[in-house]
Order: sequence, then C-alpha cells, then structure tokens
Amino acid sequence: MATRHYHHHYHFSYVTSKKRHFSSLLIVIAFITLILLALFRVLTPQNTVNLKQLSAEDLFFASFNTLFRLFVSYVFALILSVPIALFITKSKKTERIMLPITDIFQSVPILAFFPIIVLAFIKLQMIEGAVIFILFMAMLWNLVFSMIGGLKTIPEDILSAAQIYKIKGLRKLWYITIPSIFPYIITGSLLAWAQGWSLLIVAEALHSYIPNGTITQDPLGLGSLLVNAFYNGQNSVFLVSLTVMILLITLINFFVWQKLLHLAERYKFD
Amino acid sequence: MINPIVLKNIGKTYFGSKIPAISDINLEVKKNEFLCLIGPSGCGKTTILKLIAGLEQPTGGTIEKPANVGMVFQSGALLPWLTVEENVAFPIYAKGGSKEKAEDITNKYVRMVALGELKLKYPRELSGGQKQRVGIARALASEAEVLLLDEPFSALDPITTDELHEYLLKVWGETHKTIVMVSHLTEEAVLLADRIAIMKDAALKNIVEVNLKRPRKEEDKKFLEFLEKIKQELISN
Repeated sequence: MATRHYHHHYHFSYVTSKKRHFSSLLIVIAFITLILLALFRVLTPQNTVNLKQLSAEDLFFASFNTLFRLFVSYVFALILSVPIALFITKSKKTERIMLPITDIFQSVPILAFFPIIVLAFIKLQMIEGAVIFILFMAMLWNLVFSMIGGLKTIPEDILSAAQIYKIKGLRKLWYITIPSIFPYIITGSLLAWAQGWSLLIVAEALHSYIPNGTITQDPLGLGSLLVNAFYNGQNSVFLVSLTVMILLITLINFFVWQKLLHLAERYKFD
Repeated sequence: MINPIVLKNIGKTYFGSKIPAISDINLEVKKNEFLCLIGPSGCGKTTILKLIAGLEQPTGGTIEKPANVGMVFQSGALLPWLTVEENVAFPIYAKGGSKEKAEDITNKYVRMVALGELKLKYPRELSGGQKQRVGIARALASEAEVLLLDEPFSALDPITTDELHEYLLKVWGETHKTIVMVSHLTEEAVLLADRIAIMKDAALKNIVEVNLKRPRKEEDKKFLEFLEKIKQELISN
C-alpha cells in the first residue's frame, strides 16, 4: 500500500508541479533576500562572546549563524552554477574556450585574495557578506564541475527525444536537463558543503586579515569560536565547538545527504 | 493520396568527415504504409531516419515530411524519474496539452500496448520489452502521422521480439500510422513491412514490395522464399 501511495503522489504531476515549482523558487529567493537584508542590517561585526564564560545560548547562535552562512552561500552557488555549467557546455567551441578558464579560476586559491575581499566588505560594513562570499566561491566550482560532468552524460537518445517532441528552452531545462543532472548536483553539493565546512575556520576568523584586528571583529560562528578558543588556550570551548560542529555535519549527512543520495537513484539513467 | 514523406536527391556528409553517410537518396513513403530500411551497419539507415525526424539536416537535396513525427529509440529513451504514464504523456505536455487530454490519450495508448497495470511503475521496474512498449505508446501519444523506429527490438531476446512484433502490427492496424523502421534483420523486415528499402554503401539500392499475405508466419514456404530473395538482393547489391 505504501508503494501505491508513493506513486499516487506523482500521478500526473506535470501541470500543477510546474506552477508550484516556479512559485516555490520565487518564494525561496524572496525569503533569502529578506533574511540577507535583515542579517546585514541587524548583525554587527561586534562579537561580544566571552570565551571564558561561553553560554549554551552563545553556542546555539554560533551554530545557527554558521549553518545560515553555509546555507546562503550554497543557495547562491547552486543558482549561479546552473547557468555557468549550461553556458560552458553550450557548444564544443564554448567548452574549448571556457573549460580552461574556469579550471584556472577554480585553481586560484580563494585565500590568496581573501584579505582584499574582507577589506572591501568591511569598508561597506558587510562582514557577513565577506564570509558568505568566501564560502560561496569555495562551493561554486564543485557544483559547476559536477554539473558539467552530468550534462555530458545525458544520453543522446534523450536529447533527440526532447528535440523531436519540441521540448525547448526553460521547459527542457526544467523537465529534462535539471532532473538528468540531479544525481550530479547532489554529489557536487556534498563536495561543496565539505569545502564550506573546511573553509569555515578561515572565513569566520576575519580579524587576522585586518591590520591590528581583534577578536571582536570576527562574526560569531563555530569557525571563529574554534580559532579564537585555540589561540586563547580555551581548550574546553574548543572541544565543545568541535563536537557541535561534528554533530551538525553528521546530522546533516544523515537527514539531508543520505536522503537526497537515495532520491538521486531514481534519476539515474540505465 | 499525398505521400507524407518524400526524399529527393538527399545527401548527408557529417561535419569533419570526407565520406558521405548517404548520397543521392530518392524515396517516397506512402500514407499508412509500413516501410523497413535494411542494410549492413554503417550503410546510412539511421541517418535517413534522423533526417526524417529532423534531428539532422541534409547537406544536399530536399525533404518533405510532416511537422510532427514520433520516434521509438533502440534504448527506449525513457525518463527514469517519470512513471510509465508520465513518460507516455510527456509529448502531450510538451505541446501544452491539458491534463484531461493527456490522461485520455495516455490511457488509450497505454491500454493499446497492454501496459494498463504497469502505468504507475518506473522504467527501472520494467523489462526491456515493456520499456519498448512504453516507447511505442509515447510515440503514439505524440499523435504524429508518422512513426519512426530505430532498431527498437535489436537489444531484446527473440521471444520478447516476437511479442513486440505482434504489438507493433496491432498498433499499426488500429492507428493506420505511416511507419518507417530501421532494422538489420531481414526476417523482421519481411515479417512486418509492406515495402523493404535495401541500402548498401550509403546508397539506396532497391525497394522491394512484400507481396505476402498477413498474418505472415516465418515457417511458411512463401515467407522463406521471399526472405531468401531479399537476402540475395543484399548480397548481390
């Protein structure tokens, strides 16, 4: 019975799902924009956490902030990676020109131009923007290259069928291209998040890039807690932050990635 | 009666190749007929089908064909994330058809190829033969005047192939579509076709009328004699 219910859920879902998907996308984009605006306005670069008296509330907000930064960076990277990957694979000519260029871009260490970006964002009073930009840049290329890999594996017959049945433009993107590369988007996303977590300690420890910078200039997050606790010899804070980070990574892996990897199986061609 | 497909002096040389895939092809496909293109691998059969489908453009000559054609692929070309009925309904939605229209047409063709009980299954849950039946139903659902079949049964076992031959003839009998099918099996062509176009070395060598009564049986003497005649044509050309 469970199987029938599952099938029923997808029963002739086309016409309604198109509207639903597009409106959901608009709502998500609007939601993110609002949250970002609020974040940039409300959050100040001042970090008032006292490492010697770290409360559970501080730890909760640090975790929330970190997750939120990663999420926003990921959404931006995901949205931008689709047109980039589509443009690169548009024709053999664009591929020949664009692939080496993007390869160089992704090889340039993000940290090489990190201080410049940080200073630019600080001038604009947007510390959060600096962190999100760094994480976004770190995540983007994993997604782009995974999508390129996926786009190149769409079977020729599927593309021919789309052409014969005159499925073009956005309709083709939504109904053929995106589902075809869905498994690659998931693996790319996994790698992107892994990259994000590993760059967190650099992205959130901003003060080391600012001349005469202090810990108060770091945005509150698990990354900045880890770095500052380590340099200040606060081993218990360091261990607690590390544990929370590992716990979050494990939970996200269990409740998000494992489910999505399982779902991706349905989108794989024989 | 106007012939739905007319190929005049058609040539095709693929980009980067000096040898033409086909040259100077003249072929008229009659309305409601079942035409089979046969010949050895690389003789240009699939190229002709792709030109009729509009997937390739000729480098010479002219093609007259309907705007809408349906195609059945060797691989099935089904979308793995859609159920049987959603795959069949796909061409209707692609043309902006309503949900009701899609349901009506889909139910009709899904029943025609006896997939009614499997309509909520996903392609991975189907056998090779069932997948091809979905491919046939999808091509029919496009409501195209012409059906193109690119070696649709070549990857299937003989029993399933026989079964699908019956389904195809049933569908053809009920819908009166014009069918152009590529095959590398002479037996298949003699069993199914009204006419057989024999190709070799990128050229159309001969078109033979199959004047055998239907239903045809592979063990009949006349069938075997005709088969031998076609095989001789293939060798002698």
